[in-house]
Amino acid sequence: MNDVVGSFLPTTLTMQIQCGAPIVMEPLKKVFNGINKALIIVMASFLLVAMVVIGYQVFTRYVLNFTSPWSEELARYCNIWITMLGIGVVLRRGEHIKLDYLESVVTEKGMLKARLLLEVISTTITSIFLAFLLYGGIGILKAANRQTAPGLKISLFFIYIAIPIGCLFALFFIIERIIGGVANAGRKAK
Amino acid sequence: MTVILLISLFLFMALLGIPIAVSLGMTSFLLLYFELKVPLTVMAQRMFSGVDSFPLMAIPFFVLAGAAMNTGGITRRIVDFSNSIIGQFRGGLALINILASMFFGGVSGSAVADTSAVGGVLIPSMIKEKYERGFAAAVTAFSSGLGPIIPPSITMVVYGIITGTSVSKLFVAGAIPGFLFGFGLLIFTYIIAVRRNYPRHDPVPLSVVWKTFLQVFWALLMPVIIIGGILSGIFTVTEAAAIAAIYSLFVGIVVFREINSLAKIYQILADSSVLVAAIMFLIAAAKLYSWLLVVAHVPQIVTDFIFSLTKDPLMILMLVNVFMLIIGMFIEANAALIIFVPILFPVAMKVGIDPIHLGIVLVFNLCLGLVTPPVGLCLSLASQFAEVPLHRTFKAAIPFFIVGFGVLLLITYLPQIVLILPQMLFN
Repeated sequence: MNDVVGSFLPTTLTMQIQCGAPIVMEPLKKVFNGINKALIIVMASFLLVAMVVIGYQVFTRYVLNFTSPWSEELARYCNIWITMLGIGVVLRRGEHIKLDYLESVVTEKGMLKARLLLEVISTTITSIFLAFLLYGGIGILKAANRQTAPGLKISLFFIYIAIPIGCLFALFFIIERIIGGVANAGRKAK
Repeated sequence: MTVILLISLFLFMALLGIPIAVSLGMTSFLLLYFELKVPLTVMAQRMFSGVDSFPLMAIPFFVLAGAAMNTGGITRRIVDFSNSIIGQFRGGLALINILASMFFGGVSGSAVADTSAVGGVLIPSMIKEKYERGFAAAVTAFSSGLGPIIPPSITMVVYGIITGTSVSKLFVAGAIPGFLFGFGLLIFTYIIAVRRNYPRHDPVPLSVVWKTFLQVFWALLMPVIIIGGILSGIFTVTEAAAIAAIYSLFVGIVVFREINSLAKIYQILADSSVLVAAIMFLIAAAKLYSWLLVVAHVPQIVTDFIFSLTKDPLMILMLVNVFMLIIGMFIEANAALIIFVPILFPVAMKVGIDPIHLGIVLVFNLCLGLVTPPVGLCLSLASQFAEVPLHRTFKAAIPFFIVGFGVLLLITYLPQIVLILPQMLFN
């Protein structure tokens, strides 16, 4: 799985970008790799927390005989954060489930331009969708701020903010992909 | 108009190769916003609440348990144990592949996890023993298709959440169809292996069988804990999944000592959380789309349409089967359930189909979708492992399709096969 430009470019194209990207790209690539890694660390930690918390919940119910009021809630919120932060990470790895039939036909026939067009359409529609979701997600925040999670006693703002933050990171990775694509096109033009 | 748009827009985007989740979400956003004038915040809220569910949390934990089992050496021991039981028959490795998946599917609950776990170990050795590559991939893909049918099963959890059907009953009901499918695969594989003269392994002495059993004992304890815990009401399905994850980490770290560094634990958590994010985002988008369908009155339209054709439960089940087989070729199983069950469930209930029966038929049906191109996740993953083009795997898989459709027909028209165990255990 190619981690740099996203796996849904044909291998030859991706290799060109990797080998041929101008040197100015290097620090930028480091930044994106760093963000990606940080996001995965956070997601992995949330998963660990969720698991431990539910284990704790079973333990307290059977051993200490009391039902924790906040454990289910915390696990659910961890799940939401994982989902939202993961949008971009999964996008970057090209692991969102999709029908790649057309893509593989076009690649097999060596139609690089058609291939690129598919890529551009997919990236455009994905970014529009993320922009919609970002806008909608920000819209909820005001109302969310007035509500409190019954168990954890924290403002729902801290949960709902996962939507816009997740969308922003995903859009960020899309910008990375566009920069990579443009750099590649520029290199080819020379 | 809205109805035509909501189907064609989605299909158009999906066929272009845009991620299914984005295709679903974008279709919903466009139609809800421009046609039905629903504000964007409401849609974001819908997606949010789509994943804000405690029962749904069984999915991340089962995914985590599966990853921990692979890294922790449980999977390998399951394979060893299967070898000591049936390795001595002709086509030993292919049979081991199926049997190991039956054990593994009984624990991990995810077909895709199963393909990479069992396939990663067995496909290379099958190729080394001169099995045809396409056949090796086909056996692996089909045997891992068993995963979601043999309980515990993520797909059943999703069906249970949507319809309010008891997940424990679904788990119990899935056992007989799962084993039928498994044994059907074993028999067909054995016949093919004898015809093609595939190699067999030397019989394993009883002392070694005992040894491998002791090794695998820890793994076999897991389904007992999960299923036993759920059936006896000790914990909910989600709690059982979390316990399964903790248990498999424990076995990998303490008993087998194969998860022996923090880096490995981190890798398990990281890989699982990325996979979880992909599944959950798809579910969130599917939830939004399914809400759009309700707002656009699609369930009524479909009900009227089906009733105009027939009111016979068996005929309706057949229609549902044909429809879902086609859907399953294109859309991932959990997303397909979330989108279509709210439409089909009311129809089925009106003609008196048992919700458990419907659930098992749907889950089984969609599992066949996991091995049917063009999307067939398990089939393409297994082909990648075997380094063989998809169409060769597909050709090799034809006998297994016959088994699959045979069992699907059986469980569709003989509901007793599905319902007898839950009736015995819960009444």
